[in-house]
Order: sequence, then C-alpha cells, then structure tokens
Amino acid sequence: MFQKLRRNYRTARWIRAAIDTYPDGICFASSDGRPILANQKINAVCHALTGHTITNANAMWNELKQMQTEECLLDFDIVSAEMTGQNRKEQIIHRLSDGSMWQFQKQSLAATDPAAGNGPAKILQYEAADITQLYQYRSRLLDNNLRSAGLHERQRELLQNIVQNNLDKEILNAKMRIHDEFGRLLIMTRNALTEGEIGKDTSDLFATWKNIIADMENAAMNDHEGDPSPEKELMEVADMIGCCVKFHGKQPCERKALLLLYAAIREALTNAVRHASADTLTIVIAEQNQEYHVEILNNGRTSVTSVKEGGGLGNLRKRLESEGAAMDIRCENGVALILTIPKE
Amino acid sequence: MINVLIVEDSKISREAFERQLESSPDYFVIASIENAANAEIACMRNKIDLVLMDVCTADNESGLIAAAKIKKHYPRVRIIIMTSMPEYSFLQKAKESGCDSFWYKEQGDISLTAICDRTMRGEFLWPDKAPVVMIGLARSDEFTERELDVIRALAQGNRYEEIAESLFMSVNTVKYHVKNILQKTGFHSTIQLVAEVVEKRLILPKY
Repeated sequence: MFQKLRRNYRTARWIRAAIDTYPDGICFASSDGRPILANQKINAVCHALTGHTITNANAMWNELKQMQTEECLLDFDIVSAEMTGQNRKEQIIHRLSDGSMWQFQKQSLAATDPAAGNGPAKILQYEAADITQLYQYRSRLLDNNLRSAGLHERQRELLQNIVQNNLDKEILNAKMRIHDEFGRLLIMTRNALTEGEIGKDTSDLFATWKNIIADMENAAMNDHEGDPSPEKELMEVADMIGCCVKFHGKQPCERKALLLLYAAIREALTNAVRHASADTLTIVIAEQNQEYHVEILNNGRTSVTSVKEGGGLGNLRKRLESEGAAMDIRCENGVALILTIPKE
Repeated sequence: MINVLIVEDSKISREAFERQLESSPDYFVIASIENAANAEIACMRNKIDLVLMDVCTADNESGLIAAAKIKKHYPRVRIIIMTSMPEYSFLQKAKESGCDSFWYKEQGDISLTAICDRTMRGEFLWPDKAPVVMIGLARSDEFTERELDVIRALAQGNRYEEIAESLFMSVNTVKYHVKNILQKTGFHSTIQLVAEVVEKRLILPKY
C-alpha cells in the first residue's frame, strides 16, 4: 500500500517535473475552469499580463480576451480565420511589457476525468507559446509584401511610360531622317548651283525637294495631331467596298467607349457585307445616365433567324464584356447588334 | 497594275511609302490607313492585291492579327509585314498568320519596291532572325526561349505566382530563370530588366 502510494507520488512528481521543463506554457483544466495541471511558464506569463496566476482557467481566458489590444486583435482575426474544422482552436495574441509576443491557444480534449467518474469528460488544454521571432518574421513579410506591391505598381506605370516613349522615339527617328535628307539635299543644291550644273538633273532635284517639303509638312502636322478619329478612316474603307455608314445620335466622347463602339461597327460591317450583301449600315446611339445604348442595323438579306457566334463575334463579345459593356444579337428583320457601353 | 493597301500608323512613314510606290508604274496605292483593324474591310470586294502591314498600328491594333484575318478570308492577297521593332516573336507570329514576306524597315538591306516586286513574283522573303539588341551585358539571342517567355510575362506586369501558372512551371523555376536572366544581363532588379527590354523593343507586350 505504502509502496503503491510512493509510486503514485513519484509518478506525479515526474509529471510535474516534466511539465515544468516544457518550453512553452501549458495548463489543463476541467470544463468549469478548475486547473488540473499548469506549469510554471504559463503561470509566469499570465502573471506578467494580468497580475495573478491561474485560479480559474476560463476566467483567465476571458480576462486575456478582454485585454487584447487593437494590434493583437487584428492578428487574432487573421489567425482565427485560418482555423476551421471540428478541432478548431481559439487563439489570442498578447505582447508582454518586455516586447515578447505570446500566443494563447484553447483546445477541447476528450479525456477521462477521475473526479467526474469513469465517463468521458471535457478537458480544456491551454497553451502559451513564445512567437516573438515568428511575429517579427511575419511583420517583416507584411512590410516586404507592401513594398513589393508598391514596386509592382511602379513597374506597371513604368511600362506604360516606356511604350509611349517608344512611340515618341519612333517619330523622332523619322524626323531625324528627314533632317539628314534635308541637309544632303541642301548640299546637292548648293553644288548644282555653284558648279553651274543646274540644267542637268533639275527634274530629279525638284522631285526630291518636293518630297522633302511634303515630309516636313507631315512632320509638322504630326506634332499637332491628337488621338486620331476612327470615324474618318472607317468611312473611307466602307466607301471603298460600296457600303454607306450612317450615324444617328451623338458618338461617345470618351475614348474607351468610342473604341469599343468602332470595334463593334467594324465587326457588324464585315458581317453585313460578307453574309448579307448589305450596302447600308445604320448606327443608332442613345445616351442614358452613365451608358450608351447602341443599335447597329443593316439593310442586307433578312432571312436569318439565328446567328452562330464565331471567332469575330465571339472575340468582340469577350472584348466588350472585359471592358464592362454588353452585347446582344437580335434577328428580326435582319441582324442587329445591340450594345450597352458604360461611359467610364 | 498592282493595287496596294498601306497600313501604317506614322503619317510620315505612310506618305513616304506612298511616294516610293507611286514612283513605280506597276503599283497603285488604293488606300493608306493607320488602323490595322480596318484592313480586313478594305480587302473585301477583291480590290486589293498587296497589303503592306505595320505591326503596331493606331489604337494599339495589331497588324499581325489583321493579317491573319485577311489571309483566312482572302488568301490570294499578298501581305508584307513591315516593322522597325526587333521584338523576337513577330517573325514567328507573321509566319503563323500566313504572311508572304517580312521587312525590317530600318535595316536597309532591301528596298521597299524590291521586296514588293519579289513578293508579287511569288517569292517569300523572310529575314533569318530578328535584329540583335543588347540587353544590359547580354545579346538578345543569348536568352533561351523559356527565358524570353519569362521576360515577356514580367513585362506584362505579372507576379511570379501568375507567371508560374501561365507558363506551367513552379514558382521556384520562375525564380531560377529570373536569376539566370539577371546574371546574364548584369541587372539587379526585374524592373531594370523590363525597362530595358521594352525600351529596346525586344518585347512589346500588347502585340
């Protein structure tokens, strides 16, 4: 009997010693919060935070929960959101006065509580882990992610600028070629005049002067040109193939909406001429609130009852929808494209 | 008489091409436009025999896409792709579109009328490779095909995770390629790399 008691006592001491050497804080409590076993570490951390050790684990948990700062609450939300499933752990994060960060976890265990008889009882396990280093890494990672997002944004802007610069560079190169040509022509003309050979290649020289003057006029006009109007060119090509394009209503003044409208007109024009032998395309534009409502009609054959969206119409739909616009096809008295294009 | 359609967004170049072709009695410039998206419409009703197609045209419309559409519906129309960009993928894309010839505008090894004449005689004139440009310490032809794919994806503003997904490789492989590219070029960051490849027009992400 004595030996059995001694053995039990020794086992309990070993358990106590083992749990005290556990590097993190740990506490087991019954469902009503009565501590069954708690190590020195968890008591020390709780004492540092609340000013007392654990007398009731549930009360301590609630106290820790209420004490959370905004910074820790933010982390708590993030961590909690990651935990799902049946064995969900509740977590709280706290910063001690020495700057170290501690993560408290509460987990329910199914175990046999000797005090509650032989049936299974709910044992609560509380853990306190020093996550100072992890927290530092996490903070650094968040900083780096923020910096990386900033750099990424800068890279996108830079790319846009480079594309524009490239276009400017191309125009500049063309102007430099004209300048070189102009210099060469001046020398040729001077030579012709001073050497009295003006009569020999006059026609060539005049033709070259004519070309260079035209180039210089174009270069000068290029400087004053804004975004090109898509209407003029479309009218020209439509006229070339014998199709008349008529507009009713005001065209969008927003560039993005205008380009979407013209992409649709081109597709409608191609299909109307190719499949319906149309010679007139009518575009009716109405402006409503923040949208343009557009109907594109043609005077071609009217026997079509349905339209299969192939590559052209399919690509147009993709493009329109990616820009927030919508497209519908109506097959009554010919094929009509119905568009809704947002202003912005 | 050969009816020609010129598609070129720069007015200066467009009119210079018009003058060059009109100086020859064999060519008639039927239209000269700046937006490649209008080229297919212009080719309807069989009035065009030859299209001189720039790649980067007005409103960011690609001449290569327009050329593919024209060749699909009007295969008899001859198309010469012309560009001043050393973008490495243009040659391949032009071949896939079924174009007849390819002309680097600023190389000067063949004149515009000469390439038009030979193309209309049935020849297919293609440069062996895109012009070589220096990207930092590396020549553009030193990059592997996969490295160029990664550079293109970077230039499109993608993150490593997005690149890995689109190129069917792991993020570590993307990082490995980026490390190799930076080593070859001597650059310290991908921003520097992207700025250089776009500035030198080795990669034009929109086309």
